[in-house]
Amino acid sequence: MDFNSLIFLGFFAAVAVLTYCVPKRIKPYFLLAASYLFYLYKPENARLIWVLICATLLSWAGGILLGSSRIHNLWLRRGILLGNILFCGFCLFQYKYYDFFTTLWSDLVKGFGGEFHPKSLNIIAPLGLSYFLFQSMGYLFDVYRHKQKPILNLAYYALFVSFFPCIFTGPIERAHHLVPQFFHPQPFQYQRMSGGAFRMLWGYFKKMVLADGIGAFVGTIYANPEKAAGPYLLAASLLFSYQLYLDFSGCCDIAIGGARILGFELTENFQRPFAACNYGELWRRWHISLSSWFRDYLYIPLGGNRCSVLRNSINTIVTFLVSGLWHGASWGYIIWGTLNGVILVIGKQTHSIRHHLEPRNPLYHSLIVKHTIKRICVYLLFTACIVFFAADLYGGNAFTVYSGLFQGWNLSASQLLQGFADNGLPTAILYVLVIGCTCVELVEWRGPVALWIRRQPAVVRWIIYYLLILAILFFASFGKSAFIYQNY
Amino acid sequence: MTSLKPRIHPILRQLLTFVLILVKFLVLVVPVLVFMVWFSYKVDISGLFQGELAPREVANMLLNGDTVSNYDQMDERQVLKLYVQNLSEEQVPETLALGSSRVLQLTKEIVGTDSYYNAGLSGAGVMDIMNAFYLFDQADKLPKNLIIEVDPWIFNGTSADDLNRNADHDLFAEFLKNGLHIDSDYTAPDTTARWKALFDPAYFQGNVKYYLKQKNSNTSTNKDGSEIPFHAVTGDFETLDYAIKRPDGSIYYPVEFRTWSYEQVMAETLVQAGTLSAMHGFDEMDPYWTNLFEQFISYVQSKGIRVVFLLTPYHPFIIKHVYNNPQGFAGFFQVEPWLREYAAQHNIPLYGSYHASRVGVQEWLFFDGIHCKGEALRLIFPGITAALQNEQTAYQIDYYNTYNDKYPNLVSEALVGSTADCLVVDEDWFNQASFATGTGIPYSDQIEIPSAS
Repeated sequence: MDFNSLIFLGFFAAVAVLTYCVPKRIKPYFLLAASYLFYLYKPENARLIWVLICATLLSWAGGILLGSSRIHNLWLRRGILLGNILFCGFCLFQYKYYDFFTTLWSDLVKGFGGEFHPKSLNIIAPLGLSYFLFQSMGYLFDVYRHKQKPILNLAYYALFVSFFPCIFTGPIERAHHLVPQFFHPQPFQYQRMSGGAFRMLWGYFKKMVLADGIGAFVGTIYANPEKAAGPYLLAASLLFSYQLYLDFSGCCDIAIGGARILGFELTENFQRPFAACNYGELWRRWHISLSSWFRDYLYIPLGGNRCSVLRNSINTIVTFLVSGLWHGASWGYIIWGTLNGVILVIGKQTHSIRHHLEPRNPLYHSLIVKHTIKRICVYLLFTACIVFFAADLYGGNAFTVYSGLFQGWNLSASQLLQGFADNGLPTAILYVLVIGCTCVELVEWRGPVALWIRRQPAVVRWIIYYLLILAILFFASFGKSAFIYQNY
Repeated sequence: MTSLKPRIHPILRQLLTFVLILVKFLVLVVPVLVFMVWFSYKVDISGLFQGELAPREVANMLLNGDTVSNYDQMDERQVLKLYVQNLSEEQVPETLALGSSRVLQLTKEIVGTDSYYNAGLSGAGVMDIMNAFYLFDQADKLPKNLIIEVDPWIFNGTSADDLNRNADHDLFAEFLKNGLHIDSDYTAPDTTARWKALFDPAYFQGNVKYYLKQKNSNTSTNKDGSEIPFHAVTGDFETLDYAIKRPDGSIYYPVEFRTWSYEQVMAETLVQAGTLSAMHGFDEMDPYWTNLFEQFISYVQSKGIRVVFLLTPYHPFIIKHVYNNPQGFAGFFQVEPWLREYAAQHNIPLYGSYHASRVGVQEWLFFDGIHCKGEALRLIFPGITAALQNEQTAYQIDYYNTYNDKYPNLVSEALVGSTADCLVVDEDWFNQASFATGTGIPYSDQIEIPSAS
């Protein structure tokens, strides 16, 4: 069941109404049933439900064992943790990485003159696999490190792993944040409900109007980058960064808004990442739940920044490489992740020099200009890396994109506009996108959208509601595009 | 300090809140939904409700009283369907003509009423005729009078499949089941998908794009962007090089076809005599189709509709050819006597004949071997008011008066139809007869009568 389908809206409305009709103690059980129903709706998910069930049962049992006061043996505890991690790793390897690594191995063997013909599995991964496995692994790490008490109630734990607003696309929740809310469900609050509903509407607008509007152009260009002229490749690359943000943050808005209607608060996943003035800050604002997961469970255990410069640099690069791999088993994602790590390392190493030189830059005398330049630089760096991501996503070749960037710049303005129209971005849509994206930035700049809308007079509020609904009705892409991060 | 707020039971409060949310939701969503549904229904780019775009355009033009260009490119069956669908109560014709292209020259002037529509369809078989009637029946827009141009081939079972290949078989099956109460393979179609489309935002967007495109351009286009070739025609029709469909449903052929020379007409007639489509293997009147025809007529009459049969003539050469080569055409010779008998039994006025000679239609009154001109129809049909009173045409009266005494044998022979020879009618008499029959304008003033040589 996709978030941007009518069936989901119907399902969600029914769950939202019923969740306040059932007694408080029953609510988590009801939501667990709803979550599994949501997951089972698609037959391809139903076939792989055992992965979710096994991951839930094993990590629940593992959590209880790790949290048990009777098990003091460190190696046993490590063994339990490792067993669970191996299971999660096996699932991830089997469904996401097997074909990639066997092909890689085959190429390597061939390179040394050997023969290795692995059988491709070519299987579809269960939807949300990376999310629920990371969520359960995070829980186990926390229990292992005594940061989280084991959850004894299997149903509550199962709900934590499979809570339907965030099972497909996150945010990747932490047990200490979400599970207590199951024990103490919030009573119905009109303001929270209306805020959640607006957040959902806002998310749909970002995803279906803006992200999909941009996506039509980016997808066309990136599918055949060899046929596109430089200006279009540049535009597509620059736009893809923002498309990805709108797509994923829109999805998170729907998830967070939906959960809020049901009476739960989910972790914020984005904080206007493109308002960041340096690359590290961007990553602290982008996909926060995953970034913080890697920080807490990979980067810090590797040594974090409390080690030598070289080791710290390696830790950063490894963390981002793994993050790239998390997104998908392909060289594009690996390069993308690694590049981000390298840029971060360079940024960190050159920070003091840049900081020292800053006062000598005449442009930096104005704070607005300085921040604007920095934001542009951050955006360009992010875009330079995201080309690999986009190329993998749309089946193009990143190196073709880079080499094509410098060709075909002799187009007239009218030819250029016509080219945009021919590639899925007619002028009318371009206006809508420019206005829409500006509104998104302006509104989100003022703080949480749910609070912002509450501050508006009723008439303005209703006008905004109608405008958003009409924008979705007139300009959204229906039934064509899934959320990008749903694939991971 | 006590609260001044009235105390409401928590459950009642929750219920009120729920109602409030529901009302707000409905206020927010319903207007948008209603607009979306209304717009999609009206524009309906896929023709789920309003029919396909091109036929819809034609039907609407006809209903607006416009004459429409490029008749030969029309999907006549679709046009008729949408014409009936969009017909308002006030526009329901009092008199309706059904038949093949052989009736399409029957104009409202010939029929003698403005409340008339010619629902003839090119190449119509019995299925098409019944379907055309059923469309009006289904929409509860039945006429008071029905002129059925009966082609002989509708009784030819051998070529039934070929004849009915263009007909809407589902509609026919529906008519058999719901109209004539005959077992058929009709099952009511599932309209859920159609209705679902109205609530589909993607369909709405397609309609918006199409609507805006139409609004911004002068030409009407199909869903795929190709131009709709039909437009309203004004001015002088005489010189048009394409066929037009008039608002009364009748057809006006292009100048090139209308002005064929005698040689051209004969050349075409020769070809048609050779092929005689839908008539081959016509050894006898097929019992099934004959019976069905009878049931159809009974059904029409049961609706209180007055029926008139019209037999439009074949070119004398065709008749002569069939007479000279009667093998495989026995059924053809049975049709007219049977129809006359059937009409007499059921009190149905019958006008015209397949034999041009019987009704004084000369060669020059034919476009080709099977299509006679409007002038010929004016000779053989007295108009609906007179026809319903079973009156003779002015031509018939004048003909008897002139020739009965002089050529009793010839008249007698012609009327029983044992010869295919065309009557020799002198020009002066013909002009008098046509003056008395038609609009008061002698035909010779309108059309150049070829010399006897």
